[in-house]
Amino acid sequence: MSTTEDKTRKVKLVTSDNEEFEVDWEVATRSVLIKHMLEDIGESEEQAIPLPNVTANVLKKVLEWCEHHRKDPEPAPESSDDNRKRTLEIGDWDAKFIQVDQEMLFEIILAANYLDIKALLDVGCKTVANMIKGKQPEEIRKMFNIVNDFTPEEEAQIKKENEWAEDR
Amino acid sequence: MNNIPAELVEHIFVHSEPPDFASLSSCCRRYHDILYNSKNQIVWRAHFLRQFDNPRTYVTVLGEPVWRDAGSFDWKGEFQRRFRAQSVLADSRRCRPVEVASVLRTLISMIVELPGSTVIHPTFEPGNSKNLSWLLERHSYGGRSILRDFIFHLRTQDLPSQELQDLYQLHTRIGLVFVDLFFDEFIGHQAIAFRQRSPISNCSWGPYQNLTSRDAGDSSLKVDWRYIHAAQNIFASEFVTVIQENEVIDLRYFTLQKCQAQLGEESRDDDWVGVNGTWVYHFCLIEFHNNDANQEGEVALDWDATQEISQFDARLEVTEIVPNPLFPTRPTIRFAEEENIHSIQGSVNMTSEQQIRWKLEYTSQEFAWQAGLVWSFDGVQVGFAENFGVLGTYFNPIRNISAPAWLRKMRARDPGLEGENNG
Repeated sequence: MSTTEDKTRKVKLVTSDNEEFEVDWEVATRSVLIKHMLEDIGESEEQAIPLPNVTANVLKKVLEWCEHHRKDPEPAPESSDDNRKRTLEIGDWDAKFIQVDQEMLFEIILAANYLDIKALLDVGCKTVANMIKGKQPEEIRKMFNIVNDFTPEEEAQIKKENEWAEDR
Repeated sequence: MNNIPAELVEHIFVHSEPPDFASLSSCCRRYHDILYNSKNQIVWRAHFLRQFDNPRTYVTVLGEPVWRDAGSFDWKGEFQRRFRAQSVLADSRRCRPVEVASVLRTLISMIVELPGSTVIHPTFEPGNSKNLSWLLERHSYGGRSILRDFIFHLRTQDLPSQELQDLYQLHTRIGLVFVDLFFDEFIGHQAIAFRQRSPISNCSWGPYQNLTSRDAGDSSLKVDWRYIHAAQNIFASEFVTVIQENEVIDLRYFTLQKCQAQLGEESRDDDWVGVNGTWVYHFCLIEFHNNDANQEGEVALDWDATQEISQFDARLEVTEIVPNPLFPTRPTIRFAEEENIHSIQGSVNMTSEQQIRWKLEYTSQEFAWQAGLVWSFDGVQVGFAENFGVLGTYFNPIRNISAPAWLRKMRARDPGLEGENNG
C-alpha cells in the first residue's frame, strides 16, 4: 500500500477518443475502477489506463470534480444502507459544478457509474431528483423528451397504482 | 435520460421524494417496470430503511424476532402504507372511509413491531428506533399531536366495529392523552370499566369481547380494546405528571417509548412470560352514590362517584407447566404465591388468537368473613410486563362489582418509580 499512496506519482488515462490525461495518483483514485486497475498493473508506471467508455470532454469534467475532492475522506464502507443519510442537498461547489446541460449531466452520471465514483454519482442523481421535484408526469416527459407509450387504459391504471403517493 | 441503464434509474428513484419518483415512473413503460416490477424491490427497500427500523430487528412482546424470514417482507406495500398514513395524519380529512382500516393497522403494527432495547429511554427520546422517532414527530404528550387529532377525528365517524377496536387499540398503545382527562371523556371510561355484578356471567364484557362464562375455553377470544383502553385510563390517570402549564399526563407506564421490548433478560426456559418475580397488583374500587344499575349492570356515574386505587406486591412462582397443543413452545404456566393469610393461584396461556391471557384467584383467611370468598381476575397482557403489563377486570365478591385491575412486573432497573403511589 505504501508505494501506491505516493503523492507525487502520476497516472496516465486514455479516453475513447484517444486523448491522454496525466493526473496525480490521488486525483485519479477517486475512481474506484482506476484504483483497482492501478493495483492490478502494479508499479509499471508508464502504462496508460484505457477508459473506452468515456470521452475526453466528459473525463475533463469528471477530473475537475476529482481534483476538487482529492482530499475528501474515504466514504465509510457501506455497512448497511439502513443508515444512509437522506438529503437532497448538494454542496455549493458541487451545485455550481453540476450546472451543465442535460446531455452532459447524464454523461457525467454514466461516467461516474462506470468509473465507480459514488459521491459524484450521488451528486448527479440528486440533481435529476431536484429537477423532477414537484413535477407532474407530463412535465417530466417534456423536460427529458420521454415518449408516453402507455395506452389510455394503462394510464388510468397507473394513476390508480400511484394513489398512495398523492397528497390528498 | 432515455438510454441510461436500469440501475441508474433506480438510483434516481432512490434519491427522489416518493411523490416525485411515483411521477417519474408514470412517464413511460420502461420506468414504470423498473420501479414496480423489480424483483428485489431495491427502491422501496431503500426508502423504507431511511425512515423506518429494519424489520429484521423487530421483536414481539416476548422479545422474539417478528420477521424470521426477512426475504418475505413486502417492502413496497409496507412503504406505501406508511407513506399514506403519513399523508393522512398530516390532514385527517384525507382519510377515505375505505382506508381507515389499513391506516389503523399500519400505525398499530409500527408500534407493536419495534426493535428491542437494552435500556429504558427517557420519556421524550425515541432511543434507537426510527419507528418511534417517526411516531414521536407526530405525537407529543401534552403538546400538539396529529396522531391524537386523527384518533379524535375518527371518533366522530361512524366506524364498523373492527375499526373501532383498532382505533381503541391504537389509543391504548399511545397511552393517556390530555383529552382523556376531560370530565366527559373520563366518565365514559368509568362507565365502561365498572359493572355492578359479576362480569363474566352471561355478559360479553371485560377484557375479552366474546367471553360468555368465566370457564369458557379460549377459542377465538378477542380482546375488547374499548374496555382495555378504559381500564388503562383509570390507572394512568392516577400517575399524571405536570409537563406543561396546565397540562398533565401520565408518562410512567403507558407511553409510546414504553412499547419497546426490554432485552437482555435472563434465559427463561419454560417460563416464557417471565412469571417468576415480583409483581404489583393494582385494583380499583369505586364508591357509587347513585346505585341504580341497569339490566346490563351499567352504572350511572357522576361527579360524586369516588374512585380509589389500591395495590399490593406479590412474589409469583411457577408451579406447573402444562403443554399447550396449539403452541408447543408456549405451554400454559400455572403459578402461585402462598402466604399464611392469603394465597394467589393463577395461570398464563396463549389463546388461539395469540393473546397472552392471565387469570388468577385471590383468597384470604385474614378475617373470618373472608372465608369462601374469591376475588378473581381475568386479563390480557397488552405489552411488556414492566410497562403496559396485564390489564383486565376483577370481581369483588363483597361489593358484587366488577372493576378494572392491572398487574405489572416490578421494574428491577428503576426502583425510583416504585412506591410513590401506594394506595
